[in-house]
Amino acid sequence: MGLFWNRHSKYEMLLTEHIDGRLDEAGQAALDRHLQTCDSCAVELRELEALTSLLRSEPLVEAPRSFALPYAPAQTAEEPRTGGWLRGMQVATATAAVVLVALVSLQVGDIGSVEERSFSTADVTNQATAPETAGAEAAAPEMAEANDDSPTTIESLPPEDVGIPLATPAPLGTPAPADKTALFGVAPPEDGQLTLDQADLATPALGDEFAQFGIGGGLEPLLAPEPEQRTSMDWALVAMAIVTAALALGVVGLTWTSRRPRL
Amino acid sequence: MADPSQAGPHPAALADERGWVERAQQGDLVAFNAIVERYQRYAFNLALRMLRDPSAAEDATQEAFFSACRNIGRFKGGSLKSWVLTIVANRARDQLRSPSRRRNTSLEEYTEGGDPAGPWADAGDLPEEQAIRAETSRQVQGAVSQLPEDQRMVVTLVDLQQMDYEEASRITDASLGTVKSRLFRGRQRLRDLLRPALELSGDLPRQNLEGSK
Repeated sequence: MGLFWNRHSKYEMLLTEHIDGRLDEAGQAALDRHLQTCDSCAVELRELEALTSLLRSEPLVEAPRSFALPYAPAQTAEEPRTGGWLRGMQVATATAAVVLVALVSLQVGDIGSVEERSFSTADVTNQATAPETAGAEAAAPEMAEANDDSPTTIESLPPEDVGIPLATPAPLGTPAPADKTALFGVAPPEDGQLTLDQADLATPALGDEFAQFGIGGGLEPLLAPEPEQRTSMDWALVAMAIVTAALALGVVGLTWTSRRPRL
Repeated sequence: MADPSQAGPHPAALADERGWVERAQQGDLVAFNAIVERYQRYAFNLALRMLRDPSAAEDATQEAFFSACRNIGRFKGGSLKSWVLTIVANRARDQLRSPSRRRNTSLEEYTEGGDPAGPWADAGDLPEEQAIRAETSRQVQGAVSQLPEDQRMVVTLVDLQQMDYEEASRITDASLGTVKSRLFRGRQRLRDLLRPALELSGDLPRQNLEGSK
């Protein structure tokens, strides 16, 4: 029996549809080919055809009495005509969702360009500081070249120069931090020609220096999220997200209230 | 094969039906009761097969027609028979799931009680024919009542009431594939249960001891 099921279960539907006269030409041809080589399915078909013939010859039971209604019950009111509203809400939700996706796409593209800009700014800054390290680069140019691409430039660069490539990405929608104010939110001291070396990074004193910029100590401030500056794009995104969510909620609510009651 | 004459009501009957529905939707009880008279036999049979209890089937059928009358304004066309039987199936399901449900008379007792030939007897048959028909019917009804609920419902709709897959799908609230699958399983089970009757009637060759099954 089990083997029969495994081998022939795909013909169940074909047998059933054949018995009920619902099999299309392709299915009938496939079943005919199978029946020529499969005795068990041929027997199954004969038996099921005999059974359905017997079942269909069975008369229905007579109703024991008339079920005619003695009085007319009050008819349920027509369903509320929410179809038009619902369709409109659905279209509006779909439109809002498309706009939201478009805005997000633009924003993601903008982030990509911001990152590219921030890296190029870092390159420029590194080049601008080149004279300070010119001697070292002259001694070992390949090392200097490697330093340009490596976070180890933190040792020789002022924090603002280090921060741009290392602590980016910049906040969403904000231009690349071109100055200390953009980076830290607070302008550093005019004489803030800070020079970091490995010892500075390890000492709590550096934390105090960063505290002057209104941020915590150690390297964490460089890696911590920076204060966001909302752009019009940000606000548009937030607004569209709210509108889309509100419309979606409206559609759900209307669908719920207008759903067809079970009879 | 399905009898094409069972595919649906005659066009004239359909026209009558549309008229009845329109009048019933305007509150005409006589028109609605014409619908009841047309479909009450199908409705009672479906409820009886589902509930296997004639008293419960009567209750479910009556409640279904009251519900149909209350909601006739929601009928938007299509098969009126399917619509009515969907309501009957819902009522029968409600009863099956009701914790207070109790069985009064079994289907077997119902078919055996009263008229010795049972409710399936045709008045024109000879006594012997009536007895044979009644015995076969008793076996068929007994076998159908042993099927699981989902298979029993589909077999009742497709094989006993000659409805098509789409109607059975709507009434049982199941997909077409599920309907076909339940139908196949139900028929297989019935074939096994009714093998003696089928062999006696000559529809099946007698099974030898090393039968294919």
